[in-house]
Amino acid sequence: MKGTLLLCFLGCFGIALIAADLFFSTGDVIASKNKTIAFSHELHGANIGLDCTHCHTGARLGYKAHFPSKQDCLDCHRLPLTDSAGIPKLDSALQVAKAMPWQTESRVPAHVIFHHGVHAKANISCETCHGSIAEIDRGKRASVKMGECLACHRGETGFAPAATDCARCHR
Amino acid sequence: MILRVLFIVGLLLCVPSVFVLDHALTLGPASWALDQKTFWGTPIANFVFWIGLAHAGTFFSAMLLVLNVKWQKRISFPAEISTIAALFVAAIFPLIHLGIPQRFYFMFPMGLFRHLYVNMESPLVWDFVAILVYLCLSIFFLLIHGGSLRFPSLVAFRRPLAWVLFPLVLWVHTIVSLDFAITLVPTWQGAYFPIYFIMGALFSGIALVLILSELEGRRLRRLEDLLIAFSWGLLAFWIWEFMTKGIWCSEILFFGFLIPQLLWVRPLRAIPTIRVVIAMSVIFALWWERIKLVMPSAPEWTLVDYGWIALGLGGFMAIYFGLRLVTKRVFSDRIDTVSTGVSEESFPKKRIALYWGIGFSAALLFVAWFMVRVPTVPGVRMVPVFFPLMALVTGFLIVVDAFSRVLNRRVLFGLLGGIGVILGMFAGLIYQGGKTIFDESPAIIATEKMPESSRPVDVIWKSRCASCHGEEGHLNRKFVHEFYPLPREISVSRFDSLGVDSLSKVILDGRAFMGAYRGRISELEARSLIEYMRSLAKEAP
Amino acid sequence: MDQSRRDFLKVASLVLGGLALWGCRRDKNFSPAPKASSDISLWKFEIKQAMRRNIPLGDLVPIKIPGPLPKFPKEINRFGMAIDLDICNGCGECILACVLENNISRVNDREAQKGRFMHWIEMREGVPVMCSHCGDAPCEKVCPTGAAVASPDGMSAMIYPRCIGSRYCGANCPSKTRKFNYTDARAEGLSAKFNPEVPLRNRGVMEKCSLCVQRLQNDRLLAKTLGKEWRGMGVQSACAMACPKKAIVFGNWLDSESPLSQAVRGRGIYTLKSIQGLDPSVVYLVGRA
Repeated sequence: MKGTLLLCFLGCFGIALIAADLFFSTGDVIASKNKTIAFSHELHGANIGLDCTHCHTGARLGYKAHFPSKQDCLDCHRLPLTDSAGIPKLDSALQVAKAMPWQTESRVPAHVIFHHGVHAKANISCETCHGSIAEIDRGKRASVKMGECLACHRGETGFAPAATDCARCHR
Repeated sequence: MILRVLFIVGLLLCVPSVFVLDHALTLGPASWALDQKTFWGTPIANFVFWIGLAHAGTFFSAMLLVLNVKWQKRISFPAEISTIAALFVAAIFPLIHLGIPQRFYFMFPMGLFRHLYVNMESPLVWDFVAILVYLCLSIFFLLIHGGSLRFPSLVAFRRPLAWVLFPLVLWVHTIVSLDFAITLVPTWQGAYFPIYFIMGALFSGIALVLILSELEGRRLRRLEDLLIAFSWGLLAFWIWEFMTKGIWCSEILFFGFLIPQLLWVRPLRAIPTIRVVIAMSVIFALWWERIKLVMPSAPEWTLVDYGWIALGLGGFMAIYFGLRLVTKRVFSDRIDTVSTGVSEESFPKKRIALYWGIGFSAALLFVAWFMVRVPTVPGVRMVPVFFPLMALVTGFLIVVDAFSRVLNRRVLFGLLGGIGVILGMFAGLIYQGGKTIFDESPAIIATEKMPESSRPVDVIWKSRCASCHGEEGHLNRKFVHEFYPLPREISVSRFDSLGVDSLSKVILDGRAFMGAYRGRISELEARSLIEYMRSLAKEAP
Repeated sequence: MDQSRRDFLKVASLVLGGLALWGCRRDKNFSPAPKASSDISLWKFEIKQAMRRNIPLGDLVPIKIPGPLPKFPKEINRFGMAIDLDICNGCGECILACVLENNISRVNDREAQKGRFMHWIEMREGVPVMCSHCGDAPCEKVCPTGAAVASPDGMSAMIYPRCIGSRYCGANCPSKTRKFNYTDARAEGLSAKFNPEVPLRNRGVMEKCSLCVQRLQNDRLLAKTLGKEWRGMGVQSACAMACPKKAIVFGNWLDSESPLSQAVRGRGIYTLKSIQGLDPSVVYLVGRA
């Protein structure tokens, strides 16, 4: 009896440890502070002739791809665009939104340099790391695990091998 | 009785070392005698010292067994225990020495998720592998010896394992000496370092085993003879060091050479206390020699530096005498008598040769795998880890074979399975590596700070204008046709008639359905955009 | 239970409890960390303190002009510096600039007393000495984890997250220009992030002159994004920029148009005797060739 009790206790303890590690591990979970406007990439994609860099302007040349500001949304949404019922809701939300409605914490640690521009120049499409629009809408984020970065840089994923010299990406 | 007293003395000596360890672990290397010119200090010196003493144990159990020296049987078991005790104490020091001890597992030569590999050119990696293997094999050796008292048939396996351990001991201490000899530090130069270190280790080890035997009331005249012989051997090296590098240390010569010569004096040699004192003097001399070697000119010693002495002594005494008490209780005095019963010739030679072969292949496989993964490592630098790995596999196989003859198959495989699972878990943890550190805001990359006029105009067009005007200037019909009244397509002539000024004003202040971009686009950029749009219009069919 | 056993247990638990409490003395809740300061004058004062030490320089020996690295013969860039000792007056402005560019931390009193400063540039007999980025670097050979690596661009790079603090590199550096983080500068409020581009280092890692790798990286990223060939033209390290007499010249040894190649023309090129055969990228200029 005592033995089984001890075993159960150890088992629960072990499960609790593993769960804590999975759920509270830093680095792979981002708190997105955007709670009021549910943005759908699918509505803003190729169907209206837009691609990633129209809103994420840094993706071609900069190190950060950036999120659009409220002003950028208003460039198009200044007028009611369709008769859909969501439009008045969107307009009122835009009225009270902050200047930068979307913010995320960067998943790149301080000692790592990741530059979007050089990767865009090497003809790596946004989907390669960020996934398709459908996946992004479901919450997928780009992985920043060094093992995966290096797999690409070593040429193991089909792209031409790039620098594997430590001083290229680390400071 | 004396064993119990010394065990308690050892425990008492451990008490100050708890404080010292706390200081060392919380403050790190700042707490002992180091600076920005002297980076290796007392922990390394103590490490070399204790490893040397560990080798002595193996010398007396394995090496002399292999060389068929009959009298070694009387001290082989205490010697093996002293190896284990000294090894455990020695292993603490390199861990403390590290600036970030919890990252010590970076030195495991295995592939990691982050595609990082150890630098196999570094003697510290050879050290890490060799000493781990040495620890494992010493434990195996002790297990076989202990087991042979319960199962006499195991005696036959002592010699094959001793043949694995004997070259390993020489190899390990050679690697430890190469930690120093391979550097550019002037006082650490010398191709003779491997032999010098091994001789020094054996010298201190003989003194230690002499003390340990005397403490249990046993006199071994051979040890005293060896002590004198080795003192002359070391003198040769010390004179060589003086002639080649000008290093002269009177204390070492006094305590390490002159004092042992007292053993020539028969009346003195007959007194046990004098013998122990002489042996202690030898041990002190060699400890001091390690200190002088590692840090010839060092900053002032702190309490922590002195504390390592308590840690080493206390740890060793506690472990050694504790183990002696335990084994005496389990095996009684049988262990120190000559072990016999089964002829030592009856081990299966072919099978041992097979195990060596498997060990060799395993080590070869590892070297090949590593050199494929890390093409830049010179092949010659893989040699120092080759033999330890071979020895580990061979020794493991010998031990498994030995115990499979005496233990229930199920018990043995259960044990092996359990150990395998635990090792696998550790390997998995090491493979995953540590968690990424996020305690700082990410680095900014200043390429963003491009001067205003050099922000490429086509980038601005693409991000701000193209959603309505289209990338090539022909309107984004998917969007404007659906949602917006059509803007006017502008031909080149219309451009020219409207003029750059009024058109840039349209960009900056807006018009009709077009928003104002003032504040987001500078005047200079607005003008460049007009020029760009005009060039797109020109291209229109 | 025996009376004596009970007493023993009482004493033992009291001792253990006492030890546990004593172990808590360094807990953050009981001894809060001092407030961090970004006051530059504190760093300036410490640099003056460091410059007052008398550190011997050793001999300077002549060497040939640095060429391509034997390990990377096909590379077109090899970055380095030349310090003109005929002009340098040992003012120490380079040290301050380096400290501010690389977020070098101050040290507490105990460390200062022991001379364990963190400045990457050290003044020895009026000559600024920093890592020479040897082509045949002894530090890179002995680092067990590969934290000290050779970059094909000629830098001897230091990767902090991979460093375990074995200090083998420091022991093997003949010029003794590496610095070890003996203290946790952030916890003691001694570090400031003057430059958001450079990460702060934690306790237990080695650091040294990086040839302002962050400036080189930024310049290269910009050039590569715009599709241009990159020779590092126009990049200057913080010390080179700050020297009031322009005694430090930064550039590309393999680019004949680089200011570095032009500055060493006709001059005597020297290095520290201790690193003579190691092919340094950072050299001293004395007199004519």
